[in-house]
Amino acid sequence: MNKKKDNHWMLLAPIYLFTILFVALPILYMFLLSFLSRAQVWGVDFTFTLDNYKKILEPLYLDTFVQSLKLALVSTVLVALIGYPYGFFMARMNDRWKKRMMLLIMIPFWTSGLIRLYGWIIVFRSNGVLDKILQGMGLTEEPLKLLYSYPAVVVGMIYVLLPFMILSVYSSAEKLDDTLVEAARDLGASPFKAFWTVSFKLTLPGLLSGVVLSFIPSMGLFFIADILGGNKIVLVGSVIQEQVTKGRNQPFAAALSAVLMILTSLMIRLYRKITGTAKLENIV
Amino acid sequence: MSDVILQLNHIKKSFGGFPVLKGLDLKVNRAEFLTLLGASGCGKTTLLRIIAGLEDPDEGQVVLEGQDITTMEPNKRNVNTIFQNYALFPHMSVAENVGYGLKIRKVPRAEIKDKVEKMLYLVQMEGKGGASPNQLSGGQKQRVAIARALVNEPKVLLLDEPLGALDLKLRQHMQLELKRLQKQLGITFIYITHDQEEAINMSDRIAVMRNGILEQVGTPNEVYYHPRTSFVADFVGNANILKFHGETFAVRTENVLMNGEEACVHPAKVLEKSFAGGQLRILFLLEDGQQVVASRSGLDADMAEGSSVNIGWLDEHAVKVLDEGIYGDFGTSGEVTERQAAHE
Repeated sequence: MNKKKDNHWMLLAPIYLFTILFVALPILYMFLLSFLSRAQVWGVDFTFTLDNYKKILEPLYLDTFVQSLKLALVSTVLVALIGYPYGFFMARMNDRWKKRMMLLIMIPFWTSGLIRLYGWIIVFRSNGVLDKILQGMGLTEEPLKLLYSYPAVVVGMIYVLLPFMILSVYSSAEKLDDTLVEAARDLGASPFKAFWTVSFKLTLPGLLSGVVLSFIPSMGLFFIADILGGNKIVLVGSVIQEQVTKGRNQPFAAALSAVLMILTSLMIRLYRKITGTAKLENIV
Repeated sequence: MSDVILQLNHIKKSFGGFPVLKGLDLKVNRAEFLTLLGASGCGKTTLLRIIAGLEDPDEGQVVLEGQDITTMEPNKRNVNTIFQNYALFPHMSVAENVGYGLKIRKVPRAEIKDKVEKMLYLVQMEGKGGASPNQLSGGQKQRVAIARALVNEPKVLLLDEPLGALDLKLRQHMQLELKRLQKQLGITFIYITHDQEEAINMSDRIAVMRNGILEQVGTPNEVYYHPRTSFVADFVGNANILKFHGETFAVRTENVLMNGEEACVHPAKVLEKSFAGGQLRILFLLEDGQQVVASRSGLDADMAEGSSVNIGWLDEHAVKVLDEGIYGDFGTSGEVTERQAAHE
């Protein structure tokens, strides 16, 4: 018995070690850092202060938070609306179509994400690919001036986040037992009712992890806003990055990160509570 | 005399060019327990799915109480199915599972609660309504699946090898219980199994299926004592299929006589003795090369392997049958070809 218990611990040890080293310690470091003050020239002054958090309440930074949350919400909702059906139907397809649909998601990963974002510049810029196509079809006459606009940033967000949503929905839709849907139909449910009461409910954990995988990064994907939004759209991620690199105010960047982290986890907890996915995850 | 509730007219179905059902006709009477008996791959599950509406036949009609329901959506049919793996909804409690059909049909909440409780009581699961299906044993899941189907008061209940996953003791117990429920509620059961004993124990009538057609439909007595074909005799009664003077006879193993009784007119050699299932089985080789299996209760008979004896059977125990072989399209094992060779 004892021996078995020991083995158990040994197996888990690397995971614990990894988590402590690369997740727990950095977070702890970040929180500690957020209560220190900025040194005059370079580095950190080890005096306790709440100034960093007070600074966040200034309208300039508060606005940034609101804007970031809004963009993250809009992007996540759109990603879910597009990604859920794609992932769900990909799981229902026969093997040949499954492979084709999977390939479509995988191809973009063959090049660097940054380069792909620069590709969107070519599409969006004045008299770029999109304008040419629309003008060619006679739908628009003037350039749309989409680059460095809010919609361009949203498109960029969706583009980057969509694969995570699709794969996460796909993995839970793959496990869905067809006989459950048949049982629902047999018991009197219309195709839509059967989908809503059985298929959707059972793939909700996949949708949730997709939402988590989209929502968290979308709060921090500053380079998308930088590349496709110009200076017009400033996100928390951009501010943090600027504070670390240009502003050299690491404690303030840490405070921003801490607030961002707390906000994100609160949003996800709320979401889980509303959808009741925590209960579902235990059974599926 | 009997009142037909479900009628299948010339049902045909192929999958990828391979015919699974080949023009099958069947009439099912109201409130009867009908078993579709056949080996795996004979098309019995496909037939059940066609009745449920989960599969469309290529040809033929499904008529329920005089109404053609061949193309009707499964949710509109007053027919419910118990699936082989129970198919309980894992995200719902036992009570929610049982009440699912009623909720879909917008039955008032209080009525659902009432009916679900009654049904859980009927399948001896009272007080388990709040449990999750994952906490249940196989037998309990089975009971919930039965309750979930029966609460909708279907005209016909389809059961696809519902006891297949249970151990022997539990299976025997559930056989009695299903039979009790069927009698008590007066609902027509169409029951699928490949276990001839189960079929004989439970059914009012048995439909023996083979390669997409029905070989024989009749009461357990008829099928057991008067098999129409060699296949039925072998599959249902484990009979010896013997050929004499160009005619084919089925002689069940327990009816083979030996040791100097009057009817023992066939000289034979003892090939093999084995003890299985509380019975001694003796394999004889007749002079014309046919093999005969005899079964006896008891541990041993005083004859050595290799010895020569006379065996035989009473005339009334040799039932004349149509020779249609004894194996389905899929049932060819080494032993099979050996025994087939002995037939030639």
